[in-house]
Amino acid sequence: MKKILLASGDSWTDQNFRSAPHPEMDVSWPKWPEILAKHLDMEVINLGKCGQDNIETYESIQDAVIAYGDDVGFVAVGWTHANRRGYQRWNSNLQCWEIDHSQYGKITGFRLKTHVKNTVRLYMNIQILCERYNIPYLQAQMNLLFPRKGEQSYQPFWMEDDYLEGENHEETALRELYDYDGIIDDKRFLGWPPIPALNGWSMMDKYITPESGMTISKYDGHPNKEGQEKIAEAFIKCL
Amino acid sequence: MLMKKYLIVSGDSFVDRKFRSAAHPEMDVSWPMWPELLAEKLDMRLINLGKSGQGNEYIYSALQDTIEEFKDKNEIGMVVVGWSQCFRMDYQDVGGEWCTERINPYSDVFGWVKKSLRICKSLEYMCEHYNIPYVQTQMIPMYIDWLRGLPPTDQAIMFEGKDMIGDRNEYPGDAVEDEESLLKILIEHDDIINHNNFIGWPISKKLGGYNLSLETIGLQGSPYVISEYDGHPNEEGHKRLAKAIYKHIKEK
Repeated sequence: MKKILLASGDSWTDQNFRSAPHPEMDVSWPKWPEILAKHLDMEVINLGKCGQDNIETYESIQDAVIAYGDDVGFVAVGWTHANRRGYQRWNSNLQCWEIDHSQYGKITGFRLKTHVKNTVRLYMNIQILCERYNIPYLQAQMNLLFPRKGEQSYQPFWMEDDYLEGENHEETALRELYDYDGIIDDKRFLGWPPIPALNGWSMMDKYITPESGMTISKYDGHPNKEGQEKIAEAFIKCL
Repeated sequence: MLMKKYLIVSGDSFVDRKFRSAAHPEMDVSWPMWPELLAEKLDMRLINLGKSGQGNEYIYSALQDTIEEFKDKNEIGMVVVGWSQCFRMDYQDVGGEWCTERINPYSDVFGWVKKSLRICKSLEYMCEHYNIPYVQTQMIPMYIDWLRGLPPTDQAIMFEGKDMIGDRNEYPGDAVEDEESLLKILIEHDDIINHNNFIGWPISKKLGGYNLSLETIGLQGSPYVISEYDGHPNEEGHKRLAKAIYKHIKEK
């Protein structure tokens, strides 16, 4: 029996991804987890979900590692924006867990630094989980850890309060990453530390840029077919 | 001379060195608490991360941040965690201070319990990964207070005339049916949680487990709690908690 590749993340990873600006578009091209699994000769279990936040991404991997045990041959994680947060709710009619995305970005106690710190703790949790069970793994920041002012996916509604205080919150957030330098295994984390200001990158910074020709369109920055292949190639290079 | 190792403890008001009784604000509650008593018995230096009102996300995150600060993890002799209610929501405010909402406005009791159990498991991963001896326990009931209808706070009962029974929040569902579903979630975790390191697992009397405070010091009115209005441990209660945890550490 083939071993299992567990992958998780948000819309950059979701095999059921649909383009919101182009709902009619056929986007059924292979996503990076499928390509990576083929390379590793493993069966893929893709836990990526559009809109999924980083806590849910970690929890999905944790639950699956417990459920599949020794059958897990590899874990690959594509992280999303640190500020995103969703909530899990039990649907007793459908007997399944559902995620409520209505609260996107509205978490109380809003501060970029704390969102980044939470995500860095989750990077560490994945590292500890995989090393604990001797599971080979790779992780990468897919889209930006936090959208910067002036960038395509920057959304003023979650940054405004921070900027109103007059502190350079980006700089403070960067310090959270700095603290984990030497603790996060940079051989297992593509582009660590995942932000250009610290000489690292996310997939969005390095490959899937608006000018790269690897996004769906100028209205949809998600990776197109070539983009997904490029992401898979980046993972494969690090194996 | 060998340097003493650290005992790192995390939890809520049952652990917090700065604990004050909301029902009896004038009371001197500066008696030694179980973390100090335990550190003495184990001959370790204490780092107490307990913070009143906090939930399980804080309890784990504070511990994770502290453990990561140790370059040499061998300096940590033991980690002991007393988990709180699953329905609290922790967050950091604009100053980075940890805060909590008494009732998480998102998700429901099933989501909260699953999240708390994942956090318990994450603690195991972290401590086993770094070879740190650890013990965890459900210090106060994880979900029962929510199912029974959450009563007003001690402070509201004492000073605002609220009634413990009459002013409960009504549980928004079928508590009997939902408790059965919650017990199933606990049973599903029975092979996942390391029983040796979890005092009282599987945390429910109905499954043969318990939460440590009820088991060791009892409810309001017991001689080991502050008063009939405040169920926190008194001096004797803390001694009993320290003794129970120490006994588990020595016998496991």
